[in-house]
This record gives sequence, C-alpha cells and structure tokens, in this order.
Amino acid sequence: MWSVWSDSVDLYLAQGLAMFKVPGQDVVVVRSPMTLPLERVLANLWGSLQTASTAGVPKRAKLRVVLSGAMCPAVGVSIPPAVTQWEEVRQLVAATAAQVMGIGVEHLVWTSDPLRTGVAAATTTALWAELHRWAEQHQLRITSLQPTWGVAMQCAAARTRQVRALLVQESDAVTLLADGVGGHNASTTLVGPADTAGFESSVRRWLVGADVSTEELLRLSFDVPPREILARGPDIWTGHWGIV
Amino acid sequence: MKCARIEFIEDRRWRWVWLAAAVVAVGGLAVFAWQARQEHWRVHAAQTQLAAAQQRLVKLAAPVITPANARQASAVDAAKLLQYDLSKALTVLESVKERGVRLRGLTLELPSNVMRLEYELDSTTKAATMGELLNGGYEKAPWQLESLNVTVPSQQREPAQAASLARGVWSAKLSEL
Repeated sequence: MWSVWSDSVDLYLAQGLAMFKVPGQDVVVVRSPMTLPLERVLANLWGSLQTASTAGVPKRAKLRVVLSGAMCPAVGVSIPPAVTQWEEVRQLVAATAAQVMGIGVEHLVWTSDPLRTGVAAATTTALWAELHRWAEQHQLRITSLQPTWGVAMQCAAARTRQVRALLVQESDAVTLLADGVGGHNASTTLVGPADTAGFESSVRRWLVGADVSTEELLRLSFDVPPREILARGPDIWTGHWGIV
Repeated sequence: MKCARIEFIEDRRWRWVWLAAAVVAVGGLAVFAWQARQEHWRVHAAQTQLAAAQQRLVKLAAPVITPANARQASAVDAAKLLQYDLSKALTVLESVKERGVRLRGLTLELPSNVMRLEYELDSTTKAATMGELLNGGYEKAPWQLESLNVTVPSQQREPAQAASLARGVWSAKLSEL
C-alpha cells in the first residue's frame, strides 16, 4: 500500500494525443482530432483507463503532467544587463511569453527558471484550469507540471560541456534550446511535425543564429511506442525517449 | 548545457521544511528567553540574599550597647579606683603638719577620678602654703585650689570657732598623683 501512495502516475498531453501511465500497468494511449476540446480528450482518456485495466487508477495518487512543446512552448527571453529588479524581470518574461503565445498576459500561465538562464515556459489558463478540474474530479493530486523539453533539459545527457544546444522532437512540435549568451536566449519552439519540408533548414538557421555547431547539438525525440531506455536520459516517461 | 528547472507546480515540501525550521527557531528563542528569565530571577534572589547578609554583617559589626548595671558599674569603678596608687597622696596628707590647718574632708569622685581635700584654715594666707605643701614632690602641680571660702567672724561665735577663717578645697586628678 505504501508503494501506491509513493508512486506517481504520469500524464502526457500533446495536440491530438494523450498518454497515461500507471506503475505496473500498460501505457494507455488515446489519439483524438486536434480540434477536440481538452475536456473531451481527458474524458476519453479516463474512459479508456477504466476499460484498459481492472485495477484502475489509485485514489489520491500523485499526478505528474508533461505537456508537449505545442501546448507549452519554450520562450527565449532577452534580459538586458540593466534590468536587475525581480519585478521588472517578471514583467519582461510575461510580456515576451504573451508575444510568443499570441495572447494576452491575463490568459496565460508562465514560469521561468529560478537561475535566470533566460528560458521560460508558458501555457494557457484554460488548459491549466481544465487540468486541475479533471484531476480534482478523479481525486488526483497534481505534483508536477513540466514541458517535455523541460524534462529533457534536466537529463544527464544534456548537462555536459560538449552539448551547447538541445533539440526535442515530438509529434506536434520541435523545441530548440540553447544557453543564454550576453542576456539573450535563442530558445524557441517550432509548432508542427518534424517531417515537414524546410524543417532541417529552419534548424540550421537557428543553429547559426545561436552560434552553435551541429556537433554541439543533442537531438532527443519523444515517441509513443516504447523503446529501450536511453542511458543518462530523462527520468520521466523513461522508455519513450531516443536520440535522433 | 546549463541545467534549467522549469516547473509550474510549487514544491510544497519546502514549505514544511521552512515551517519546521521556523518552529525550531521560535522554540529555540522561547527556550533562550525562558532560561534568561530564570537566570534573571536567580541573580535577583542572590542579590537579595547578599543585601540581607550585608545588613546582618553591619548589625553584628556595630558596638554592643549594654544597659547600665548599677551594681556592676560600681564594682567596675571600684576596680578602677583600686588600680590607682594613692600612697603618695596619702603620704603627703600625713606629712602636712601645718599649724592652723585641719583636714576636714577627703572626697574621691569616681566618674571624673578626682580627689578633693577640704582644709579648714585659720587664715587665708595659709592657702598658698597649703598649695606648696600638697604639690611638694611633684614635677607638675597636680593639686589646684578649687575654692576658698572665707568666713566672716561673728561676735556671737564661740571662742573655739573664732580661729576658723577659711575653708579651702584642693582637687587633683588621680592619674596625676
């Protein structure tokens, strides 16, 4: 019983895709049209969970949510050296996130790295509210909510001196991440699958702009089908990560 | 790459850590304050005891005033008197053989340790002679004429009483004899 209390259940959300993993059970994957509202997507997911396993989801389990790059894009923030006040930095990050998302500040939820590396993450308040409502409805407690690229940045394979940039490829977006230089961070998310025409040229253009060579770029992908666990890879959704 | 941590959900576990640290800090301050207060009361009690002991010491160091005991005082005075050597003074008295001079009284005053001699003189000129006789043998003249009462002769007196014209009182301190 203690293992049930301590284990976490994982939820991955992308455009048209929802995955749920309960320890000791198979991963439940639900594909939906991209235009389907999130409420319906989550309802379909829960229905699939009930039918897929007789054990079901443990009550009051801790829920870790991972959002794809399309649902939670990376926001590279340029912070001038003259800006030192914490409130000013917050306002600058919020304004940049609103510009990237194309919505007002009051409609987005954002967070940035406490170490001020210049990268922030943003999502909509509607998605935030719907996730919390769904979790409360099914007696789940959200203990973590991160973007996929945020999970990838923390893995041991990315935190090496040889790696100066990170590419995270998902079904609905590709996120390019680099360290900030001189207060400027070039991190960005390209919404859309990676197999589109001109994708590679976009990546090369970005590498030039970030002053990063191809050899210094680490390419990771997050896939639905399970695969061999990546050594020194992310510790969330292990078995779904690979090197491109 | 630098390890950046992107997390939307605040880790509430740190709140418990900070709460525990705050409780420990407040508890430590409370214990310190309580011990300081206890120490303050201990010092106060010690100071009170010290003041009381000092007062008792002052009382004990003060000279004891015993009530006067008349019998004991008389015995003490007598003992003091007996310490004086009056042989010389009595020898002088015995050696005074002056005509017209008669010893009428001898008084020892104890509080002032003074001896008084009252002589009856047939003439006032004998007063100076008596002074020389009494002070004979002393470097400093201890005997001083204290009073000389001259008696006015009266016709109604008896012939024996007509010879006494003066009464002289000489006094001296016993310590100078």
